[in-house]
Amino acid sequence: MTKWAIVADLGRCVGCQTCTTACRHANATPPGVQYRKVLDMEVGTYPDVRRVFVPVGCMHCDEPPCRDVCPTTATKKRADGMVTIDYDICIGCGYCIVACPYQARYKVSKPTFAFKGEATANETKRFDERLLGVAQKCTFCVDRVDYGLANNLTPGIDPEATPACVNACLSKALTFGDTDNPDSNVSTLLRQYKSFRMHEELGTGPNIHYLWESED
Amino acid sequence: MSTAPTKGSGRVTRVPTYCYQCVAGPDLLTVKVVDGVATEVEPNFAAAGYHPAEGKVCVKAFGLIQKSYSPHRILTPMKRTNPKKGKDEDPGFVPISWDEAMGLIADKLNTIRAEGLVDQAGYPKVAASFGGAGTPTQYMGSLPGFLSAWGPIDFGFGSGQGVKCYHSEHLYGELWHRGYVVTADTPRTKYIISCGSNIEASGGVCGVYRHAEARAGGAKRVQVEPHLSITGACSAEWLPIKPKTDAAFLFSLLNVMIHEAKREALDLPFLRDRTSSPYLVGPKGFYLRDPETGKPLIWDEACGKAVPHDTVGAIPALDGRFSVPAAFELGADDDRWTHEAVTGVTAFTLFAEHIAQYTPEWAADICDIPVKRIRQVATEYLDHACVGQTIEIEGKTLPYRPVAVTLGKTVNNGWGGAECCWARTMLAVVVGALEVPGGTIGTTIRINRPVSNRLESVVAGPDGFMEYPFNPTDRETWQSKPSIRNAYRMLVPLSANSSWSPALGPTQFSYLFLDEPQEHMPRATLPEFLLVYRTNPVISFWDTDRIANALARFPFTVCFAHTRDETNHFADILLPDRTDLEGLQMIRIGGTKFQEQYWDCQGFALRQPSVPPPGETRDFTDIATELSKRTGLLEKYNTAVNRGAHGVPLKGPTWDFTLPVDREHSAETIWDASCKAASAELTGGAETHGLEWWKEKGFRTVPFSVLNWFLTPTMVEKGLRYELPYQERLTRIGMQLGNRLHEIGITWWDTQLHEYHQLPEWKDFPKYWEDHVVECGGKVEDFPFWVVTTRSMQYAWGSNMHIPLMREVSSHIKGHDGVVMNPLAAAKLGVKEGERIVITSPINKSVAGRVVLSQGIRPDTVLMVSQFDHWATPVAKDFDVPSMNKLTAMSVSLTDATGSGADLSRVAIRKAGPDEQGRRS
Amino acid sequence: MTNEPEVGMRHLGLAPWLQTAWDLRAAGNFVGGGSGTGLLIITSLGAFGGLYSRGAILVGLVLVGLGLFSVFLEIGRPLRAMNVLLGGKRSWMTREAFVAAVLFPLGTAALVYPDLAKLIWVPALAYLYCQARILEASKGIPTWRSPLILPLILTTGLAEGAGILLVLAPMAFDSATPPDWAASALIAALAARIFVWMTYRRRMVAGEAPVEAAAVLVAFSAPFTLGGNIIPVVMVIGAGLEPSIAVAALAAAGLAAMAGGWMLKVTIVTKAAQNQGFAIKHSPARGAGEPGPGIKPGWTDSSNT
Repeated sequence: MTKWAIVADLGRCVGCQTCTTACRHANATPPGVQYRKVLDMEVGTYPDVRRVFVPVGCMHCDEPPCRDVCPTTATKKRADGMVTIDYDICIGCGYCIVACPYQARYKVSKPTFAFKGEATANETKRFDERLLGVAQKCTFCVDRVDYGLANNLTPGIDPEATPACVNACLSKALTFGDTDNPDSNVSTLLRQYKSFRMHEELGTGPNIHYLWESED
Repeated sequence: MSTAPTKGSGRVTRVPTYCYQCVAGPDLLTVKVVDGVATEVEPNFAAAGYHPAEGKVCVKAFGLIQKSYSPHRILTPMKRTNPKKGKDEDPGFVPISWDEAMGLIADKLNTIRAEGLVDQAGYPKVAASFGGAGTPTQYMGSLPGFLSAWGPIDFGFGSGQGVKCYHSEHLYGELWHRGYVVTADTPRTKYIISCGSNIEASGGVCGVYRHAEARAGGAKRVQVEPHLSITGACSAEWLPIKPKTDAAFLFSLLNVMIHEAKREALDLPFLRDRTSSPYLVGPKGFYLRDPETGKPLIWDEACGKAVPHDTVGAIPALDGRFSVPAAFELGADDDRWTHEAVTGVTAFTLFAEHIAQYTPEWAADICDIPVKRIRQVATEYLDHACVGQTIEIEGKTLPYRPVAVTLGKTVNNGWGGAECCWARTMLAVVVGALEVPGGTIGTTIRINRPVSNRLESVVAGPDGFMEYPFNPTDRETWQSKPSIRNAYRMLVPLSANSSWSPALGPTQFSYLFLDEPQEHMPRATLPEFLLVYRTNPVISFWDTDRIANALARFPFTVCFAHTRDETNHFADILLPDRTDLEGLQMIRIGGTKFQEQYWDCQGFALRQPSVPPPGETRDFTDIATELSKRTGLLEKYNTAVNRGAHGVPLKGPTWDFTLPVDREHSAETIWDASCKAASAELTGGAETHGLEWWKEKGFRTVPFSVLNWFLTPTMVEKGLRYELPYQERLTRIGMQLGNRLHEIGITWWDTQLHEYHQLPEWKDFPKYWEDHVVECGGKVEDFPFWVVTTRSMQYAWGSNMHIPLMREVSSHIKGHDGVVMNPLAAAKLGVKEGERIVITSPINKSVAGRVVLSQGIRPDTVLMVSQFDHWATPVAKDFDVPSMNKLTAMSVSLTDATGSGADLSRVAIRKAGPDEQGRRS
Repeated sequence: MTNEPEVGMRHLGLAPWLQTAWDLRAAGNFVGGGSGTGLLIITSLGAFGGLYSRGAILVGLVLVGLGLFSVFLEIGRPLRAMNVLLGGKRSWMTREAFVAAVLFPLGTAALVYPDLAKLIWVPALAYLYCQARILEASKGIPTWRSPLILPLILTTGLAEGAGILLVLAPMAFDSATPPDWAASALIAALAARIFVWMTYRRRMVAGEAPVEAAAVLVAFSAPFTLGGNIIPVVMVIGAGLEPSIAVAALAAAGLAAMAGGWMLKVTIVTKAAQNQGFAIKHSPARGAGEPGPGIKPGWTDSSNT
């Protein structure tokens, strides 16, 4: 089997938001809709303070609450773990938005553009009416992954088959790969480093793994 | 089923190009174009094997698409119709044709040419203000050819140079080790002391990548800074130091290493053979010199007597006092003292005795860092230094010293900057970590020549040190009247006189002296013609109201304008150029360059049009050609282009792609020839690919040895020593400069002259700013806070405040929406998160903004990220975020000897009243 | 119903923030559906004791219908509304729709065939249960996903239903007085509701909800307890003690109980609806540095250890 996942090395991430912008480009999302973004968290009290940059987005959960609540089956989980939305079925009830404990889903009802009133040439070119009034979120760049698999490329290794955020990451904090494959890039990292997953206690089985310390 | 947003259907091409919006580039990228519309920026994956950060692309480059398609763009030349200039005056810009615009500009320039290029005060009538660190050059096509053809131009109207750069490091770094910008050899470094350096925000893609790799490799970095910056966040430890006390901290580290550590922990052979440590110093503080040769003396332990420093076979004594039978000292100007039976002290001994006073106990109070932490850092640094170890690179064995010290801008600039640079370099010197693998190394040169290869700039100068092109201070050749308004050649010997030097002087003086003429110096005049490109000094400099006030009086200003902004608000003509995704140009890539660009290859990359040019925009090269033609300079301009003023000499040993000088050439023709010349230059003439080939490939490199990253092997090869720790030459130059200034009656530079010192010493640097409060008529206790700033990776150098995407993503990073403040300080002021405060500086300027609470800042310091406070730039003018630039003073008393000032100020803070809830106070 | 992103500064933060995907329109479904089904259940069970009120059944159905219409106004693609029926395998929202498809025909039929009234409680209770499960399945909102949301929604639905029955009594019943057991049913439902509420609130405040959500619940607790529960009980007792005011007092008690339930749901759905926020279990080691504690901003135990 295959289970796609992202490993985010918190020791490497610098919060530059290059992944955020790359994702905005790759998915042509409207202003403020960020399938991927990096949080800036502060821990401790002066002078013993730490600042941690935490990439977040859809966790493509093993047990996705969004999928469980979806009344239309628009949200599905593929055999390879990706949680997808069929924009042509979704009715935009917003139930998945409140079901997601990772605040990963968005719904935009009206066309919105970077410069307010008018769409720029690229926004016009890429405007996707299907995404109005329905839920949207990180797709793990499913189109790139599927294209790669169809062309004998390795997602997570070959850039054409890898999510845009991972390709863009300056610090190599983000790695995409198959956790079911013990020899994969992500499996290797998960062996080498201690990791945790966000809100794991909720039983969602999230598939972004956060590395926080070397095993040795 | 549809599960991914649309990618846009149509004919897809991927155009290779580069982004050099900021000095940390260039980043090689591809623009995905669908049916002629740019839709995505991606890394140029083909560059992964060449680029030091796998060809990744900075966050700022992703703003380029919105930049191109911004509805706020200026798409035709514009002319001002309101003759009154002022912040509150509507310029009344109206569109005009290129012909009219170029006619107006040429008329002005031709009048100047006819009447004389310099005014009665001796200042150039034409001035130019270009953005930071050479970035505009990579977008202005062949304009440098025109500038070169024109003649004298005042390039000293800065936009932040000297206050927003690494100023002291630029000058001292080049002097000591050809390091215009100084970094760690990050991938090999194991321990970095980072004083205020914000490499993760300002080091670009390579900076981020290299430090992430170093962390993954187990390196430890200690961040010493008043607030927990992005770099602090990514460091193993944070030491919240009091602002402007870094020199004390660094001195105390030296103290521990020299006086507490075992002497063997230091790199004694390096000190002995590669530095001035063994030079004997006489009673007047200058080197004891051999009466016959005039060379500085050392004590040769082999034969037990003083011998010239370069005596073959001598074993120099590092430490001690020795009796020398006959020697002389050479002071400033004609000072010369002849000695008999004089005691010579080694420079190292003087250094050790000097540093003895700076104990950790002494520094702890000054810096507000516990004694234990100071000792710990010093000890860890020594423990990581690997003194005695070597590493093999490309088959050559080199010393391996994986420790480094890096300095941020406010540490580097203004009072205390020189001392920090010296201490930092000495920290490398004492363990032999200067310019060797793992250690503290320089990126590139901008003052010495040849600029393309810093190793070749290592030329023997006097006394066994490298040559350095100081501006002269002797009676005969000192420039007593400034050639440009900021007087860099007159006041700052270290700034030298390269093409970069005008911007390495005290650029704030260009504006300051307009209103505050200094005694015994020709009064600064308004330039008759100002050309502005990729810069916005009304926002990015200091005391920005003063800049606006000055620009309002400039009689004729031409701005290349992407959108309206605060500087072109005062322009007479606006010109729209084809910018990042639309223009044609080549850039040199590879080799070593700031901020942390260390490549194992070098070559060129092409910036080419990804999308059709919008409106009436014109390629910069075509603009430069027409300007040259209309001013009768075509021949000179073409000659300059042939010579390579635009970046590529068109003629080489075995190739000649020079263009006929008597006629106009299109941008395509010029860059086609440039592409062929670049190909030939890289391959010794074997390849001559033209523009079409480069458009397809995007870049081309040839190998560049990693050994070129390190200067020390060249120093060894040439038998030269680093001019450290003792600053004999600089002291002499400082004295001579003082003599010259006093001879013409100038005493207003006297405080600056104290910076020239054999062994830099701690002065109460924070007090300079407290004294400035008093100078402004205030009381220090009324200004209890420091305000500091920090770079934002999303904005740094980018001129991209008008790009909504940058605003959107930067909002995730704390501080982009207000003034960062410690909760303890906020509680004292009675303000809560999100409430507005008014911040006032000693020059009686105020800004207002929202409080952003953070534990990651000293309670006596507030932080204003980046440079906001726009009032004309579209999008940015709605931010409602203050900038410290309005608050910081331009003053001679806050300018150090290198001409720089530090980016901080004492401030008063109070809760905003109900009537101050609007944008500005 | 939006989750429109805020463009510009002060982005939605790290600590839990108020969800905006479901607003009053969604709350309207829980209000109408809960009260309507509560009334239908009480009325249906009353049928076993001889109660039959077309008015009550009609009002119940209308309430449920208005609730569904309310939520219809919130969906992004109303023309595809029928797709809501596709997710029966997992989604309680689909199941709610299925049950509605039984409830409305049956209820309408019961208006004609009184005997059918005895059956209405089955789909009505199922519908109410679906609503409770809809909230409980919302893993992203800690105050909704609590297991206690189930009894809370059920008991308040019954309390509201009993309350409405008392309100309707002067109009819906010939005697103008409700059946004797109705007041008792209200008291029983209120007792159950207040007990569940107290337990729910305590657990939310004890750390099962974000600090901000717990604060909303705490602020709501006193007016709700008093106005929505104690006062109705006092009124019912007063009605028993003083028959001259019984009709008015019982109607007022019913109204207060109903209003309390409505406010409870509006509060939980639109005000105490902070999402999960973000948290990390550890701060990372940076290079050779030491790792540190994690953080869970906006929660009582923010250390997340």
